[in-house]
Amino acid sequence: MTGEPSYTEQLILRGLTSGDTSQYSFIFKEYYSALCHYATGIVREPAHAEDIVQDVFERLWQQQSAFHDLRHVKDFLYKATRNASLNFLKGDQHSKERQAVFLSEQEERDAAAELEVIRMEVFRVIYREIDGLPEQCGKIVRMSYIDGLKNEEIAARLSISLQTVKNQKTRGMKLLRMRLSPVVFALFSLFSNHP
Amino acid sequence: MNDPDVQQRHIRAMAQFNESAALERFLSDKPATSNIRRMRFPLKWKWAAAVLVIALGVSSYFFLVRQPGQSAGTGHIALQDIPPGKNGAILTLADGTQVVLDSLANGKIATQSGTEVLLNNNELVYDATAATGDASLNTITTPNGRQYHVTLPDGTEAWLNAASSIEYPVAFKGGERRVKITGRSTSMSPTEAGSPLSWKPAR
Repeated sequence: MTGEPSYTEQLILRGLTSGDTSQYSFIFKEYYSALCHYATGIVREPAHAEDIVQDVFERLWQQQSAFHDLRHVKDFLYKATRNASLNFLKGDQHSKERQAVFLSEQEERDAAAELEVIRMEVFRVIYREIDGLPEQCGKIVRMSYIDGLKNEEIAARLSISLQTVKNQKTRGMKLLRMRLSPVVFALFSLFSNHP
Repeated sequence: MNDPDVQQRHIRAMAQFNESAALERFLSDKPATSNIRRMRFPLKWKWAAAVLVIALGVSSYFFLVRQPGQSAGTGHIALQDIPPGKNGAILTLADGTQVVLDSLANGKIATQSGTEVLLNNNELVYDATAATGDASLNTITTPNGRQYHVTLPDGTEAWLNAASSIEYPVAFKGGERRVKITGRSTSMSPTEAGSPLSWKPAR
Protein backbone atom coordinates (compact mmCIF):
# COMPACT_ATOMS: atom_id res chain seq x y z
CA MET A 1 0.00 0.00 0.00
CA THR A 2 1.62 3.23 -1.15
CA GLY A 3 -0.10 5.34 1.49
CA GLU A 4 -1.20 7.95 -1.01
CA PRO A 5 -4.99 8.18 -1.17
CA SER A 6 -6.36 7.36 -4.59
CA TYR A 7 -9.34 8.89 -6.27
CA THR A 8 -12.04 6.75 -4.68
CA GLU A 9 -10.56 7.10 -1.23
CA GLN A 10 -10.53 10.88 -1.71
CA LEU A 11 -14.20 10.70 -2.62
CA ILE A 12 -14.93 9.13 0.74
CA LEU A 13 -12.66 11.45 2.68
CA ARG A 14 -14.19 14.55 1.17
CA GLY A 15 -17.64 13.19 1.83
CA LEU A 16 -16.74 12.87 5.49
CA THR A 17 -15.64 16.50 5.68
CA SER A 18 -18.61 17.85 3.79
CA GLY A 19 -21.28 15.96 5.70
CA ASP A 20 -22.29 13.63 2.92
CA THR A 21 -24.64 11.13 4.49
CA SER A 22 -23.93 8.52 1.82
CA GLN A 23 -20.26 8.41 2.71
CA TYR A 24 -21.06 8.40 6.40
CA SER A 25 -23.44 5.52 5.88
CA PHE A 26 -20.69 3.56 4.17
CA ILE A 27 -18.14 4.11 6.95
CA PHE A 28 -20.80 3.52 9.59
CA LYS A 29 -21.84 0.16 8.18
CA GLU A 30 -18.25 -0.92 7.75
CA TYR A 31 -17.10 -0.20 11.28
CA TYR A 32 -20.13 -0.14 13.56
CA SER A 33 -20.28 -3.80 14.57
CA ALA A 34 -16.54 -4.17 14.99
CA LEU A 35 -16.35 -1.04 17.14
CA CYS A 36 -19.28 -2.20 19.28
CA HIS A 37 -17.59 -5.52 19.83
CA TYR A 38 -14.36 -3.74 20.67
CA ALA A 39 -16.13 -1.48 23.18
CA THR A 40 -17.98 -4.42 24.73
CA GLY A 41 -14.58 -5.88 25.58
CA ILE A 42 -14.06 -2.89 27.84
CA VAL A 43 -17.48 -1.95 29.18
CA ARG A 44 -18.99 -5.41 29.27
CA GLU A 45 -22.59 -4.46 28.37
CA PRO A 46 -23.35 -4.48 24.61
CA ALA A 47 -26.06 -1.86 25.11
CA HIS A 48 -23.57 0.56 26.65
CA ALA A 49 -21.13 -0.24 23.87
CA GLU A 50 -23.70 0.71 21.23
CA ASP A 51 -24.38 4.06 22.89
CA ILE A 52 -20.66 4.74 23.05
CA VAL A 53 -20.13 3.92 19.38
CA GLN A 54 -23.13 6.03 18.32
CA ASP A 55 -21.48 8.86 20.21
CA VAL A 56 -18.17 8.31 18.43
CA PHE A 57 -19.85 8.53 15.04
CA GLU A 58 -21.62 11.73 16.15
CA ARG A 59 -18.20 13.14 16.93
CA LEU A 60 -16.91 12.04 13.56
CA TRP A 61 -19.85 13.85 11.99
CA GLN A 62 -19.02 17.05 13.84
CA GLN A 63 -15.33 16.80 13.10
CA GLN A 64 -14.40 19.65 10.80
CA SER A 65 -10.79 18.87 9.98
CA ALA A 66 -10.11 16.56 7.08
CA PHE A 67 -8.54 13.13 7.37
CA HIS A 68 -5.47 12.36 5.28
CA ASP A 69 -6.48 8.83 4.40
CA LEU A 70 -8.84 6.05 5.44
CA ARG A 71 -6.29 4.64 7.82
CA HIS A 72 -6.36 7.94 9.67
CA VAL A 73 -10.15 7.64 9.92
CA LYS A 74 -9.89 4.08 11.19
CA ASP A 75 -7.35 5.05 13.85
CA PHE A 76 -9.63 7.85 14.99
CA LEU A 77 -12.59 5.52 15.29
CA TYR A 78 -10.77 2.90 17.32
CA LYS A 79 -8.99 5.41 19.57
CA ALA A 80 -12.15 7.39 20.23
CA THR A 81 -14.06 4.22 21.01
CA ARG A 82 -11.40 3.05 23.42
CA ASN A 83 -11.18 6.38 25.22
CA ALA A 84 -14.93 6.74 25.47
CA SER A 85 -15.18 3.20 26.83
CA LEU A 86 -12.53 3.82 29.47
CA ASN A 87 -14.23 7.08 30.46
CA PHE A 88 -17.51 5.26 30.70
CA LEU A 89 -15.96 2.79 33.12
CA LYS A 90 -14.76 5.63 35.30
CA GLY A 91 -18.22 7.14 35.48
CA ASP A 92 -20.32 4.04 35.78
CA GLN A 93 -21.52 3.44 39.32
CA HIS A 94 -22.38 -0.19 38.86
CA SER A 95 -19.04 -1.49 37.79
CA LYS A 96 -16.72 -0.30 40.51
CA GLU A 97 -15.24 -3.72 41.04
CA ARG A 98 -14.66 -4.41 37.38
CA GLN A 99 -13.32 -0.91 36.99
CA ALA A 100 -10.78 -1.38 39.75
CA VAL A 101 -9.50 -4.58 38.24
CA PHE A 102 -9.40 -3.11 34.75
CA LEU A 103 -7.67 0.11 35.64
CA SER A 104 -5.03 -1.67 37.63
CA GLU A 105 -3.98 -3.40 34.44
CA GLN A 106 -4.02 -0.11 32.53
CA GLU A 107 -0.35 -0.01 31.61
CA GLU A 108 -0.34 -3.45 30.07
CA ARG A 109 -3.48 -2.64 28.17
CA ASP A 110 -2.12 0.55 26.64
CA ALA A 111 0.75 -1.36 25.14
CA ALA A 112 -1.53 -4.10 23.92
CA ALA A 113 -4.14 -1.71 22.54
CA GLU A 114 -2.59 -1.41 19.10
CA LEU A 115 -2.25 -5.14 18.75
CA GLU A 116 -5.88 -5.46 19.79
CA VAL A 117 -6.94 -3.07 17.05
CA ILE A 118 -5.06 -5.14 14.49
CA ARG A 119 -6.83 -8.28 15.70
CA MET A 120 -10.19 -6.53 15.58
CA GLU A 121 -9.52 -5.41 12.03
CA VAL A 122 -8.81 -8.94 10.88
CA PHE A 123 -12.08 -10.17 12.36
CA ARG A 124 -13.94 -7.14 11.07
CA VAL A 125 -12.81 -7.66 7.50
CA ILE A 126 -13.85 -11.29 7.58
CA TYR A 127 -17.20 -10.36 9.09
CA ARG A 128 -17.85 -7.72 6.45
CA GLU A 129 -16.92 -10.03 3.61
CA ILE A 130 -19.21 -12.74 4.92
CA ASP A 131 -21.93 -10.11 5.13
CA GLY A 132 -21.29 -9.22 1.53
CA LEU A 133 -21.55 -12.72 0.07
CA PRO A 134 -24.27 -13.10 -2.56
CA GLU A 135 -27.80 -14.14 -1.67
CA GLN A 136 -28.22 -17.81 -0.87
CA CYS A 137 -24.51 -18.46 -0.55
CA GLY A 138 -24.20 -15.76 2.08
CA LYS A 139 -27.31 -16.89 3.90
CA ILE A 140 -26.03 -20.45 4.17
CA VAL A 141 -22.54 -19.38 5.23
CA ARG A 142 -24.02 -17.18 7.95
CA MET A 143 -26.36 -19.89 9.16
CA SER A 144 -23.42 -22.25 9.40
CA TYR A 145 -20.61 -20.05 10.63
CA ILE A 146 -22.43 -17.44 12.67
CA ASP A 147 -25.57 -19.17 13.84
CA GLY A 148 -23.77 -22.48 14.25
CA LEU A 149 -26.33 -24.65 12.49
CA LYS A 150 -25.44 -28.08 11.16
CA ASN A 151 -25.68 -28.72 7.43
CA GLU A 152 -28.76 -30.90 7.90
CA GLU A 153 -30.53 -28.19 9.88
CA ILE A 154 -29.78 -25.62 7.21
CA ALA A 155 -31.06 -27.92 4.49
CA ALA A 156 -34.24 -28.50 6.44
CA ARG A 157 -34.90 -24.84 7.22
CA LEU A 158 -34.34 -23.67 3.66
CA SER A 159 -35.97 -26.70 2.04
CA ILE A 160 -32.98 -27.47 -0.10
CA SER A 161 -30.79 -30.52 -0.50
CA LEU A 162 -27.84 -31.28 1.71
CA GLN A 163 -25.60 -31.24 -1.34
CA THR A 164 -26.70 -27.71 -2.19
CA VAL A 165 -25.74 -26.59 1.30
CA LYS A 166 -22.28 -28.12 0.94
CA ASN A 167 -21.86 -26.63 -2.53
CA GLN A 168 -22.80 -23.16 -1.34
CA LYS A 169 -20.38 -23.39 1.55
CA THR A 170 -17.61 -24.38 -0.85
CA ARG A 171 -18.57 -21.52 -3.11
CA GLY A 172 -18.50 -19.16 -0.15
CA MET A 173 -14.99 -20.27 0.70
CA LYS A 174 -13.85 -19.69 -2.87
CA LEU A 175 -15.32 -16.17 -2.90
CA LEU A 176 -13.79 -15.32 0.45
CA ARG A 177 -10.40 -16.59 -0.66
CA MET A 178 -10.65 -14.27 -3.68
CA ARG A 179 -11.77 -11.28 -1.70
CA LEU A 180 -9.66 -11.55 1.41
CA SER A 181 -5.96 -10.87 1.34
CA PRO A 182 -4.00 -14.13 1.59
CA VAL A 183 -2.83 -13.39 5.12
CA VAL A 184 -6.35 -12.86 6.42
CA PHE A 185 -7.73 -15.84 4.55
CA ALA A 186 -5.08 -18.12 5.97
CA LEU A 187 -6.36 -17.28 9.44
CA PHE A 188 -9.93 -18.11 8.57
CA SER A 189 -11.55 -21.44 8.08
CA LEU A 190 -15.21 -21.84 7.38
CA PHE A 191 -15.01 -25.53 8.00
CA SER A 192 -13.20 -25.42 11.30
CA ASN A 193 -15.96 -27.10 13.25
CA HIS A 194 -18.30 -28.62 10.73
CA PRO A 195 -17.27 -30.92 7.91
CA MET B 1 -5.10 -15.05 16.74
CA ASN B 2 -4.64 -18.25 14.80
CA ASP B 3 -7.28 -20.27 16.60
CA PRO B 4 -10.34 -20.68 14.36
CA ASP B 5 -12.63 -21.05 17.36
CA VAL B 6 -11.46 -17.73 18.74
CA GLN B 7 -12.05 -16.09 15.38
CA GLN B 8 -15.48 -17.56 15.15
CA ARG B 9 -16.38 -16.27 18.60
CA HIS B 10 -15.28 -12.75 17.75
CA ILE B 11 -17.07 -12.70 14.42
CA ARG B 12 -20.23 -14.06 16.02
CA ALA B 13 -19.99 -11.33 18.61
CA MET B 14 -19.79 -8.71 15.88
CA ALA B 15 -22.75 -10.19 14.10
CA GLN B 16 -25.07 -9.61 17.05
CA PHE B 17 -25.04 -5.86 16.40
CA ASN B 18 -27.54 -4.53 13.93
CA GLU B 19 -25.70 -1.88 11.96
CA SER B 20 -28.64 -1.05 9.69
CA ALA B 21 -30.92 -0.16 12.57
CA ALA B 22 -28.16 1.77 14.27
CA LEU B 23 -27.47 3.63 11.04
CA GLU B 24 -31.11 4.67 10.82
CA ARG B 25 -30.88 5.99 14.34
CA PHE B 26 -27.70 7.88 13.44
CA LEU B 27 -29.20 9.42 10.31
CA SER B 28 -32.54 10.26 11.89
CA ASP B 29 -31.52 13.79 12.84
CA LYS B 30 -29.25 14.50 9.90
CA PRO B 31 -30.31 16.34 6.75
CA ALA B 32 -30.36 14.01 3.78
CA THR B 33 -28.11 15.97 1.50
CA SER B 34 -26.36 18.35 3.84
CA ASN B 35 -23.47 20.21 2.27
CA ILE B 36 -23.05 17.73 -0.53
CA ARG B 37 -20.24 18.96 -2.72
CA ARG B 38 -21.95 20.47 -5.70
CA MET B 39 -21.58 18.25 -8.74
CA ARG B 40 -19.81 20.05 -11.51
CA PHE B 41 -22.07 18.59 -14.11
CA PRO B 42 -25.81 18.07 -14.23
CA LEU B 43 -26.96 14.57 -13.31
CA LYS B 44 -30.26 12.92 -12.65
CA TRP B 45 -30.43 11.92 -8.97
CA LYS B 46 -30.80 8.21 -9.75
CA TRP B 47 -27.79 8.20 -11.98
CA ALA B 48 -25.71 9.91 -9.29
CA ALA B 49 -26.83 7.28 -6.80
CA ALA B 50 -25.80 4.51 -9.19
CA VAL B 51 -22.34 6.02 -9.67
CA LEU B 52 -21.96 6.33 -5.89
CA VAL B 53 -23.01 2.72 -5.35
CA ILE B 54 -20.46 1.52 -7.88
CA ALA B 55 -17.72 3.70 -6.41
CA LEU B 56 -18.51 2.44 -2.91
CA GLY B 57 -18.48 -1.14 -4.12
CA VAL B 58 -15.12 -0.63 -5.78
CA SER B 59 -13.67 1.11 -2.75
CA SER B 60 -14.85 -1.54 -0.31
CA TYR B 61 -13.13 -4.15 -2.45
CA PHE B 62 -9.86 -2.34 -2.85
CA PHE B 63 -9.43 -0.72 0.53
CA LEU B 64 -10.76 -3.19 2.98
CA VAL B 65 -9.60 -6.48 1.64
CA ARG B 66 -7.03 -7.36 -0.96
CA GLN B 67 -4.07 -5.00 -0.78
CA PRO B 68 -3.05 -3.81 -4.23
CA GLY B 69 0.64 -4.32 -3.47
CA GLN B 70 0.21 -8.04 -3.02
CA SER B 71 -1.35 -8.82 -6.34
CA ALA B 72 0.30 -8.35 -9.68
CA GLY B 73 -0.06 -4.59 -9.56
CA THR B 74 -3.69 -4.13 -10.47
CA GLY B 75 -3.96 -0.77 -8.75
CA HIS B 76 -5.81 0.19 -11.89
CA ILE B 77 -9.05 1.84 -10.95
CA ALA B 78 -11.47 1.48 -13.79
CA LEU B 79 -13.80 3.89 -15.50
CA GLN B 80 -16.35 3.78 -12.66
CA ASP B 81 -14.25 6.38 -10.87
CA ILE B 82 -14.37 8.90 -13.68
CA PRO B 83 -17.55 10.93 -13.35
CA PRO B 84 -19.69 10.48 -16.45
CA GLY B 85 -19.77 13.41 -18.82
CA LYS B 86 -16.46 14.85 -17.63
CA ASN B 87 -13.56 15.10 -20.05
CA GLY B 88 -10.57 15.25 -17.77
CA ALA B 89 -6.93 14.73 -18.48
CA ILE B 90 -5.95 11.41 -16.98
CA LEU B 91 -2.65 10.75 -15.25
CA THR B 92 -1.53 7.14 -15.11
CA LEU B 93 1.04 6.54 -12.38
CA ALA B 94 3.89 4.06 -12.45
CA ASP B 95 1.87 1.42 -10.61
CA GLY B 96 -1.05 1.69 -13.01
CA THR B 97 -3.28 3.81 -10.79
CA GLN B 98 -5.27 6.31 -12.80
CA VAL B 99 -6.18 9.75 -11.56
CA VAL B 100 -8.55 12.24 -13.16
CA LEU B 101 -6.53 15.43 -12.88
CA ASP B 102 -9.39 17.90 -13.20
CA SER B 103 -11.26 16.60 -10.22
CA LEU B 104 -8.55 16.98 -7.62
CA ALA B 105 -7.78 19.88 -5.35
CA ASN B 106 -4.45 21.68 -5.58
CA GLY B 107 -1.55 20.18 -3.74
CA LYS B 108 0.36 16.95 -3.58
CA ILE B 109 -1.48 14.14 -5.32
CA ALA B 110 1.14 11.40 -5.34
CA THR B 111 4.70 10.47 -4.52
CA GLN B 112 6.74 8.11 -6.66
CA SER B 113 10.33 7.15 -5.94
CA GLY B 114 10.74 10.27 -3.86
CA THR B 115 9.47 12.56 -6.58
CA GLU B 116 6.43 14.52 -5.52
CA VAL B 117 3.59 15.06 -7.94
CA LEU B 118 1.77 18.32 -7.31
CA LEU B 119 -1.30 19.78 -8.88
CA ASN B 120 -1.33 23.55 -9.20
CA ASN B 121 -4.36 25.10 -10.90
CA ASN B 122 -4.68 22.42 -13.52
CA GLU B 123 -0.99 22.19 -14.12
CA LEU B 124 0.91 19.12 -13.11
CA VAL B 125 4.26 19.79 -11.48
CA TYR B 126 6.90 17.23 -10.62
CA ASP B 127 9.30 18.03 -7.83
CA ALA B 128 12.31 15.78 -7.97
CA THR B 129 14.41 17.49 -5.31
CA ALA B 130 14.07 14.49 -3.04
CA ALA B 131 14.05 11.83 -5.73
CA THR B 132 15.48 8.51 -4.75
CA GLY B 133 14.41 6.04 -7.36
CA ASP B 134 14.79 5.15 -10.94
CA ALA B 135 12.89 6.29 -13.96
CA SER B 136 9.40 4.87 -13.55
CA LEU B 137 6.99 5.98 -16.23
CA ASN B 138 3.92 8.18 -16.00
CA THR B 139 1.43 8.90 -18.74
CA ILE B 140 -0.89 11.81 -19.27
CA THR B 141 -3.77 11.25 -21.63
CA THR B 142 -5.91 14.09 -22.92
CA PRO B 143 -9.35 13.57 -24.38
CA ASN B 144 -10.84 15.53 -27.26
CA GLY B 145 -11.00 19.22 -26.65
CA ARG B 146 -8.72 19.21 -23.65
CA GLN B 147 -5.13 20.40 -23.56
CA TYR B 148 -2.82 19.95 -20.67
CA HIS B 149 0.24 21.67 -19.33
CA VAL B 150 2.83 19.75 -17.34
CA THR B 151 6.12 20.73 -15.74
CA LEU B 152 8.42 17.70 -15.89
CA PRO B 153 10.89 16.71 -13.17
CA ASP B 154 13.78 18.55 -14.74
CA GLY B 155 11.80 21.76 -15.08
CA THR B 156 10.94 21.38 -18.74
CA GLU B 157 7.44 22.53 -19.55
CA ALA B 158 5.35 20.61 -22.01
CA TRP B 159 1.98 21.44 -23.51
CA LEU B 160 0.06 18.44 -24.61
CA ASN B 161 -2.56 18.92 -27.32
CA ALA B 162 -6.03 17.43 -27.28
CA ALA B 163 -6.56 13.71 -27.86
CA SER B 164 -2.93 12.88 -27.23
CA SER B 165 -0.84 11.18 -24.65
CA ILE B 166 2.66 11.66 -23.38
CA GLU B 167 4.62 9.02 -21.54
CA TYR B 168 7.62 10.23 -19.62
CA PRO B 169 9.91 9.06 -16.84
CA VAL B 170 9.23 10.47 -13.41
CA ALA B 171 12.93 11.18 -13.07
CA PHE B 172 15.03 11.91 -16.13
CA LYS B 173 18.35 10.11 -16.19
CA GLY B 174 21.41 11.27 -18.00
CA GLY B 175 21.37 14.13 -20.47
CA GLU B 176 18.76 12.91 -22.89
CA ARG B 177 15.11 13.77 -22.35
CA ARG B 178 13.22 11.04 -24.08
CA VAL B 179 9.45 10.89 -23.99
CA LYS B 180 6.81 8.98 -25.90
CA ILE B 181 4.10 10.98 -27.64
CA THR B 182 0.96 8.99 -28.43
CA GLY B 183 2.92 5.87 -29.12
CA ARG B 184 5.85 7.45 -30.90
CA SER B 185 9.12 8.03 -29.14
CA THR B 186 10.75 11.41 -29.48
CA SER B 187 13.51 13.47 -28.01
CA MET B 188 12.56 16.89 -26.90
CA SER B 189 14.25 19.01 -29.45
CA PRO B 190 12.47 22.10 -30.78
CA THR B 191 9.43 21.00 -32.77
CA GLU B 192 7.49 22.54 -35.58
CA ALA B 193 3.94 23.83 -35.19
CA GLY B 194 1.13 21.29 -35.39
CA SER B 195 2.98 18.48 -33.66
CA PRO B 196 1.26 16.96 -30.64
CA LEU B 197 3.82 18.33 -28.22
CA SER B 198 5.42 21.70 -27.80
CA TRP B 199 7.92 22.31 -25.10
CA LYS B 200 10.11 24.82 -23.36
CA PRO B 201 13.39 23.88 -21.76
CA ALA B 202 14.13 24.60 -18.13
CA ARG B 203 16.33 27.56 -17.37
